[in-house]
Amino acid sequence: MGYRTVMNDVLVVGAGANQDIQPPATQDWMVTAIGSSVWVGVVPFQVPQVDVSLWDGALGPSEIMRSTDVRGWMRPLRLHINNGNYLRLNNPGGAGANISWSATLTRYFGAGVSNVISDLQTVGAAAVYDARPPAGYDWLLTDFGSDQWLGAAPAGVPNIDVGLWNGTIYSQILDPASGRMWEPELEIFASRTTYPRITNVDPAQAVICFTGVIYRYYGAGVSVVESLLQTAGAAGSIDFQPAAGEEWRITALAGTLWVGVPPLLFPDLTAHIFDGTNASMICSQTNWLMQGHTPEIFVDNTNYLRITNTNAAQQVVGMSAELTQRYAS
Amino acid sequence: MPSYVANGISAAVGAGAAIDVQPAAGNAYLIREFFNDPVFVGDMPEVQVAIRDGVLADCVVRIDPTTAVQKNRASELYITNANYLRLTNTAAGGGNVGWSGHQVPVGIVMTDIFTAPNGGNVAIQPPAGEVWKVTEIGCETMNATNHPDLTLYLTDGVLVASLIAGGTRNLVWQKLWNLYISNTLYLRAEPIAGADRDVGVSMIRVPVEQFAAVVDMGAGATLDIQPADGRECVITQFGAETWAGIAPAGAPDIFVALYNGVVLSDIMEDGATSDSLIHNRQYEIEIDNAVYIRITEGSAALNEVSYCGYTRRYYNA
Repeated sequence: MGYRTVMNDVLVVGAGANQDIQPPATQDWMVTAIGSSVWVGVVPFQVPQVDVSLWDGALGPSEIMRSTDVRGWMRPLRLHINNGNYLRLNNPGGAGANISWSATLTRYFGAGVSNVISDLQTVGAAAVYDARPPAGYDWLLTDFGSDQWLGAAPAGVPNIDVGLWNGTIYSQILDPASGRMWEPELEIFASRTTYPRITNVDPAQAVICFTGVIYRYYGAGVSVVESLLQTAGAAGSIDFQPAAGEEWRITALAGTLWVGVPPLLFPDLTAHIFDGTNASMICSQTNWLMQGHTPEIFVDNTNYLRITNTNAAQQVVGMSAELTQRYAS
Repeated sequence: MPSYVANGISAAVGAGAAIDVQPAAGNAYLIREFFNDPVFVGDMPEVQVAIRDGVLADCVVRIDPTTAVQKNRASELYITNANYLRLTNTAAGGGNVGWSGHQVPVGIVMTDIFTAPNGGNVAIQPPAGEVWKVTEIGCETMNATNHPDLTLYLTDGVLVASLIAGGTRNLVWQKLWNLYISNTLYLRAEPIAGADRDVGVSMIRVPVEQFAAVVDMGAGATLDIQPADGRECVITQFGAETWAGIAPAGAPDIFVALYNGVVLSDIMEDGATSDSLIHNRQYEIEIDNAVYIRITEGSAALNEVSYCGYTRRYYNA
């Protein structure tokens, strides 16, 4: 007898009622789409009338997508859940609606342990929540949420800063005042040494969440996460250059100092592919690549990433990346 | 052992000049990003990208951003020594033009350029037994709204009117395509204007079974896309003969809902209700025998409706 790995469902959910997407205690799921028989908003920005939150049965719920805002709805979803941290769908409408989801079984672990690392936590104003893997683990984070949002509908986003932190210095990837940055799918790699730091920038206490999975268990071996931070002086450049024989895949860029006018607010830096002589620009503080899509920039020892601080003050710059290959150079 | 990364910089490419990204014979690349230094326009590097074979016309897949607004999206361009990329520096001055990608097995890349004759069409049709995934489509000529001067259909060779892009519904051209085609259900490209058009298509051969059909639906009728018990499928594209919505947006005039045999829940609205921006983005909807898709026809007339995707898995039900 086989078993299903498509974990879709459609259910009638009453006005104001909740429906949980909760895998059994032996399974990990990834939710890829959510729908409703009722759509709301102004054409062409209509979305299903569903609020989507991470929920652990006690804290939260912590909202990842809202029926009033387009954030998260116009891209492929990769919401990783398990029996302990799962999705709560709320029908905020005044009448019952048919709520649906598309999901896939990503892992059956039986008596083992879940690969899902999605979690949520209550965080005070200006306090931080670190998504730090335990020793021997690499994580991949795919989304973030909060029960406190910023911005008028339909452009609201979770009122949190998301950056990279290595225990000493910090550099920011997402800012709630820069709504454009929240549109694409996210792919942020976390190692034990450099990992996402989520800051509650709302004046009120918030329940903050992230979704993700264990990317790799390496035990006493070596991490494949190459997320790195460095301090760049005014007008200074930092080269993120794999060692000879190594290749990296870069999925996000970060800076401490941001410029522009919300929602077009971006790190005050330029990023180039650089071969030691010539540079070709990937993006700049006025033309930011990641407002449209998650970048996928491959670099090696010959053609690598150069980030230049374009601010008059010193700042920390960084990137999220994974090691894709190590070969005998 | 050689590097797997396929990136590079071509320095000081003059204004209007072009360079080619052409793998050596026997090699193939997947290219994901393009760069230009120092000029960006509308958050995009000022570079135009075309599929080229050196014989037929170059087919533009990413137009110069000064000419037209383009969606800031990733690229997924598979290239070989025979069908490669031409990058044109469209800035007013010289620039360093760059690209980033990695190597892929040359045997899977099916990228090619086809000629769609004026008044006729060309079939982009894998041989029997193969399934190809289409990722990018370009054309030698752009229309008045700076999108490929083509209409594009999913067809089984009998029903030929199920549109997935073209006409005045242009925003859909800016998506990253994810089309699964086979010998029995494939793409058909027709020129819009009165001339032959060369069509460049980036695609790879994939080891999956296609799950697709085109059906002539009655007004207001329903169509269940329900895999057999023990089969799980992924749907990546819908098409329809009749579209609705306000051009240049718009969507097929169908409602796409998840359905469990009792209740319906819409994943995509019809073009008349909402332009449904989701339609203009890449999507994957997973279904099986228990929870599947019900399409409800939204216009008041016969409507050739199509879908394509692939079988993800069989299991012993």
